[in-house]
Amino acid sequence: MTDGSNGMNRRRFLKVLGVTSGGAAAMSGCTSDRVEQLIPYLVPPEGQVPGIATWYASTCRECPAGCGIHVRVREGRAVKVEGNPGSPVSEGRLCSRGQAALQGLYNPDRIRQPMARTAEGSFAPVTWEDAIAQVTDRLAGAAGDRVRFISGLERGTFDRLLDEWLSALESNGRIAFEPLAHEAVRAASRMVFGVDAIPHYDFAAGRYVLSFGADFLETWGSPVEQARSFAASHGYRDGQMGRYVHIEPRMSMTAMSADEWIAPTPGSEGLVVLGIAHVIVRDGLAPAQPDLARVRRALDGFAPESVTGRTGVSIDALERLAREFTEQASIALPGGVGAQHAGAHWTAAAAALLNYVAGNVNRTVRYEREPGSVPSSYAELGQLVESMRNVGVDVLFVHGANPVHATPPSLGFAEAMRQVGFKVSFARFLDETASECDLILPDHDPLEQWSDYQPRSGVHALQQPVMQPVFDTRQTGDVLLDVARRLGGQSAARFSAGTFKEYLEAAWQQLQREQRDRRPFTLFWTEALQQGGVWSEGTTRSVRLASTVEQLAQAEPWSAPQDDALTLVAYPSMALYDGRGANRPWLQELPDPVTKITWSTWVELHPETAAERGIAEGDIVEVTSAGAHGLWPIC
Amino acid sequence: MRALGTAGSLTILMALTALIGGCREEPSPFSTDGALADYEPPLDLDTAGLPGPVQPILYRHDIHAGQYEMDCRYCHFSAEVSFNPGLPTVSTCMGCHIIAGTANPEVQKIREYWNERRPIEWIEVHTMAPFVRFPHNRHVVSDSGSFGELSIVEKCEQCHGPVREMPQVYQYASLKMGWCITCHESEEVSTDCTVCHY
Repeated sequence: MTDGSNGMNRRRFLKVLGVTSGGAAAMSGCTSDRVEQLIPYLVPPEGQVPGIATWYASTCRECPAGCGIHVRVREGRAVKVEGNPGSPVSEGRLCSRGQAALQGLYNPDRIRQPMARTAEGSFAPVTWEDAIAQVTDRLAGAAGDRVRFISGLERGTFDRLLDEWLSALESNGRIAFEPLAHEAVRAASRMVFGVDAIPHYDFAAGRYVLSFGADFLETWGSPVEQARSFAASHGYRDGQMGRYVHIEPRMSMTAMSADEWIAPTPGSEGLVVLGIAHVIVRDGLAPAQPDLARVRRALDGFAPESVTGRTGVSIDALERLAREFTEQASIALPGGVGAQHAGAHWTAAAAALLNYVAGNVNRTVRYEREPGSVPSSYAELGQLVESMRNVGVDVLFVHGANPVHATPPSLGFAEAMRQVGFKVSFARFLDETASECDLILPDHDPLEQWSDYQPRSGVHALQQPVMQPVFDTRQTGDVLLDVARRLGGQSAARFSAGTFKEYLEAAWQQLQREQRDRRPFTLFWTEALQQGGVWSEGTTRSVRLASTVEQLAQAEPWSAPQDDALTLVAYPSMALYDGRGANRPWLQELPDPVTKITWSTWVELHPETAAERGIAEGDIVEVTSAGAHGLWPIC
Repeated sequence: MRALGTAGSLTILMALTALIGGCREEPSPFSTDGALADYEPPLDLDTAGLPGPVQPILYRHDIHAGQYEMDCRYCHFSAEVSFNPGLPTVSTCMGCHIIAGTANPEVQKIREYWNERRPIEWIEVHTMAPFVRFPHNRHVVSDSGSFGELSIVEKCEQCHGPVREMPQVYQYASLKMGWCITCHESEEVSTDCTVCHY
């Protein structure tokens, strides 16, 4: 760990360290003519015994769920990631994407040192000193409001640092970009309850789950936590089992796990929801909620008779679902494929209303005070693109996001970005956005850095470095603080912390005060590090129906194309997510749970539709939409 | 560099404490009664005729472990607690050799390595096939069969041979499976496949 940089081959170093297991001992075993070397440390790393693993508690950052993890470290190298049994999110479990975090850490495609664009347009290594000086010079010459920052979804101290850093520059231009941040669910909460939040769905309490496209066992929300509590609530208990009905046009793994799968016309999920809600109110199946007159006005036009034709779900089925939904503690889930089309907000709002009329809100569906900043909406990203296109941005920073890849070409992000004078990326890989930048300051892998993350209210999870950095990278928090110090003036005065770790500790001292913990800070901090964070009950707030809910009645559902065209249902893959896992061989070789396909991307087509069009399995089809086109094999 | 210096002087301190005969429970590098062993290492050595691979430094196990009766675990520090017996770090050598034996050309080589911050590339003498596990700790702390009456150093010598009399270490036992099994049988410990192959 300490002296891996002695010009020695790391592989050989590790191999010979494990004396008993190492060595390419000839199969014959025991001749003395081989030359295998044993290379000692110069100085023993503190607290380490060769051959004995050390475990560190940290937090997984492969998706926004924020599961607690334990990382097994041998001879200063992380070798395995498992769930942290103490974490209220993961409770000792971890999904395949979390397991594959190691392949992000050691990935040979990682950017190994700071890189700057040369006159010829390619990238060449530069020193950190030069790179940071370049950033400082550019910032010194740019007006604050022409400096913009695109970050990923951060919920913790780094989030606060970004805001403080940008406000010291007098820029208010941060976009927190996360393509899978459930924007539609958030918009629905605003519309139905007037709160800007994603509710916490209590799977453990709900005995009847009705999902409108949310693949909650795969990518939606916090899959590890949901899978665990779903298994608990769905299992045999008190003489009966839970029931789960999945409504989604596509057969996903989550759909396969359902007791009943209903495939409506793509895009009509919202109508199904409102049909069910209409029956509940019409027949008085649930205790009347406040503001029922408002609900009635919103639901008036969605009698089962009027929605059955457009959704392909029978009146009987709608009435039965309404009865079942109100007979026991239940949850309606919007999201996933159901919330990824033009009618997404409307569908999610309908599901929120269904939860309301069934009396689930504030019981199985709770609105919590959300930690950290709210992810930016697609509209806000659009405004940034507009501003860039009009040469309104001088310096653009991108951290933890890949908007060039994740936004449709119709947005024109890449073209707009080229209008920006100086673009800095903190990417760990040379992704589509980083390739457009002028300077790359590679960040540490999440397993190499200090940070924290708040998956939900009351859960403060810590991240700690489990090993020395593999490459010559630097934590972005440290780089930002360094830049602020060099800029001097207001920026330097704002920050007393020299490193991001100090900044983090100061934030946790504040947290300790909030928790009325009177022990010395070192005790609090050490205990939090050992546990992986501190956990307490989240603060929920009770919500009431907002007047804007009546907009539901006016909104028209998005409908499938009428002519010969098919509807493309895009969904994040369980293994590769939205492509973020594509450079991890473990995830590539993980068979898709439904199609059993590995190492590939494919198009699924209903066998009858395929037969009508004369398409067979293995054919290559061209898929064209307004914004994009591509060629994929049929499965 | 500061960390290195601190660790180095710490080791010296430990060594000195041991020399003075402090009452530490850790294995002392030297025999506690202060007397030298009966074994006298040869001063004139025909290195060309010695068995075993030629190492980058002629480290004399016969002087350190034999004449000075240093406990094996002073250098192979994790033999009791880990699969891996532990390879002495360069700082461990320097703990003594920053002052001891500095006129010796072989000692000067160590000092060169240390000054250049370069680890010594020892040639491995005992290698197990990769499909076999040999947990040093299980053998060193074992008291099965006749092992109960042996001292730690004597237990080491069951497999490694009379290291205390080896100017240059060579492979003493065959390390073949028959040799393992013979011992496991005579000491009445398990010969189940998964004891070693897992």
